[in-house]
Amino acid sequence: MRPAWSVPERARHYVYDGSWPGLLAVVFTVFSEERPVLSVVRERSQITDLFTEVREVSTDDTQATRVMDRARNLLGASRIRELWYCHRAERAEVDRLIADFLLLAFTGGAVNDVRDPIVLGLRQWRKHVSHEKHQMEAFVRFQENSDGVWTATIAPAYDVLPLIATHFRKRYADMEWLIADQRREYGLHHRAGIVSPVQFIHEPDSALPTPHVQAAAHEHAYVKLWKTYFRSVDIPARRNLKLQMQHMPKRHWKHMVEMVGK
Amino acid sequence: MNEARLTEKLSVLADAAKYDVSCASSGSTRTNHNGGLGNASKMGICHSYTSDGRCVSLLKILLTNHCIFDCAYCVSRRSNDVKRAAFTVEEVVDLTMNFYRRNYIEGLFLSSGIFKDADTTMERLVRVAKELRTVHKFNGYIHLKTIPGASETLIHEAGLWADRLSINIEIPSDAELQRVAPEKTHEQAIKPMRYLHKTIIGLKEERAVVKRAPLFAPAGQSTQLIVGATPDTDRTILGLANGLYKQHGLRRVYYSGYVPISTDARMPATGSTPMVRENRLYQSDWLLRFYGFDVNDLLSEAQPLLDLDLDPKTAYALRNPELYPVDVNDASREMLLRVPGIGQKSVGLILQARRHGRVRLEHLKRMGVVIRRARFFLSFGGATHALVHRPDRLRPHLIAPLRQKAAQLDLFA
Repeated sequence: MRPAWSVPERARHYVYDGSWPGLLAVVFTVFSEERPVLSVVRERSQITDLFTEVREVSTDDTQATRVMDRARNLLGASRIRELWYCHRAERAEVDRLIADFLLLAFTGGAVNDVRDPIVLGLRQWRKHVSHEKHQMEAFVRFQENSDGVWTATIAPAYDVLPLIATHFRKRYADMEWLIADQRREYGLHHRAGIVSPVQFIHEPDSALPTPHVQAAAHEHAYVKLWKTYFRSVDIPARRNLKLQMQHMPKRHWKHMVEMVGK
Repeated sequence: MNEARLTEKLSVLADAAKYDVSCASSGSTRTNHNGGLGNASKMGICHSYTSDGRCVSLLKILLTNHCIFDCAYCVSRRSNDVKRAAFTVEEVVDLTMNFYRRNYIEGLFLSSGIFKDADTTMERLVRVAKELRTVHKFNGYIHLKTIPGASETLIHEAGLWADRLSINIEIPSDAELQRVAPEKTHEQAIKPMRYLHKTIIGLKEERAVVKRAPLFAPAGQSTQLIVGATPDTDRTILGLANGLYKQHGLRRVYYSGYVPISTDARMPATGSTPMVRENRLYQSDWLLRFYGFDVNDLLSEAQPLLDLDLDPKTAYALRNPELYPVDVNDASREMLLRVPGIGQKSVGLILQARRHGRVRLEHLKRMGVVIRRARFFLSFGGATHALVHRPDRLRPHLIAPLRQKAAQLDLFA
């Protein structure tokens, strides 16, 4: 007989706050209340189905920790990290896969059977997210400002900013830098080996003084030299814009000095 | 900084360097150990792409394009009437540091025309690298060109500062090389390669015991061969490449399709080498290094050129129909790797999946196998494809649509 938590008739929708512990709390709830997953979403408004029960799960750190400990014992830390990577995709279908996968693991399923669409699906999502992470490590463009801080703006498809922090901390160890995710309205700030998150402020009448930061004096010269270099290494006779865009999707161009306006 | 002067130098010396196709920034293990700038990425990073779709990873420039040599295939040869320029050491250091800080590049790839003599040129290249590493605490990627004829002392020092060293053989056969570049021989390039290979292995063993032993060219050596500038066959080219991988431990051999940049009478009057030939050579190179193929599997004395219409693995399968079909659920790793349309990663997934049960076509589809090609050469325990032993009839199904169109046009021309 099927365990109660997997009887399809008992399935319902789950809503959570989008956080990683929140998703783990969803898994805890599925298990403890024995009601399978129809979908996992971050906003109640994403559910258009009027006839099925919706369960809103509030993030509970104790529950999350219990799920995490159990999962780590069963799967190992690197596998958990993969799931956490996938979660950065911020997609309902991926959240669903993660929940299904953890339930599979907790019930003794074959977590390495790549014939299983859940196992293979997560593998592929991890690849998508890693790819976006890698692209951000490549396409971030810093500008040096008059106050000595190096700044960059990005708008990645997935929430990969936390994934690239270590790379930039190690590489630009001697710089004070700030990378801002324009889409998600937060950034990471680094100084002397410490990376901390910063939030955007939306207050037009803010009492805070408006910072007068501008590009450092020689910044423009280096941008121009870089553009000169970029032009010089091109071989126009072998023009292949499709290939260029395949490697460097157009959505990134507005943040890359050598591509702006192309 | 004299911006106008620097801009002019940069455009001349970047333009002259672009015919070296090596762009890799991978394979180094250097870390930011001194709180300075930079940290190597093991897998390498391409920071931008030019309009021809090539990756821009390193600041690839010549220190100078003044050259005492007169190699027919080279745009910087003595007898060619081109604008000449030279960077100072400080200028190269400054550009590298400032491009790197802005995350434009992974590092520097510095080459040079040979001014005065080999040692003077090599010494200058080494000085740039040394200054970056010691004065500026730069831990990004540095690729230095080894100048043929430079002393072993200088080459050794280069290995201490650089991540990768390369010396280009350029012309695949010694006889052809001496015809187009009278000052050069293969031995001039092989000799420093041999020395570096020996030193890299020696210091690696030392590092295994003494952790503080210095890094020495952690990303190894590479070289470049020009394709289509001389009558050398693909068999000669791949035979040479294979020897370089096996005997001299090279990490990469690059193939550069000849672009007619030269009006020198020693060079062919033909147009550019077709991109597809370059591509087929890279595919074959991959088969040699990662798929367990041998040069004789791909080419023979009777058939010394690669088939431009088919990728080399598919061509191999059509020449050896008796080896197929390969049973997905039963075949060895080696045989799975010889199936067209199945790559290394898919083979890994298939082997992993087989531990859990039978693998079916739908699984392969999801794993990313190119079914369009693989289906003819696979079996799933039961039926096999009707054409598997009819290579003549199978061939048209395997030629990519674009190539088919081109082949038809050729017929009617």
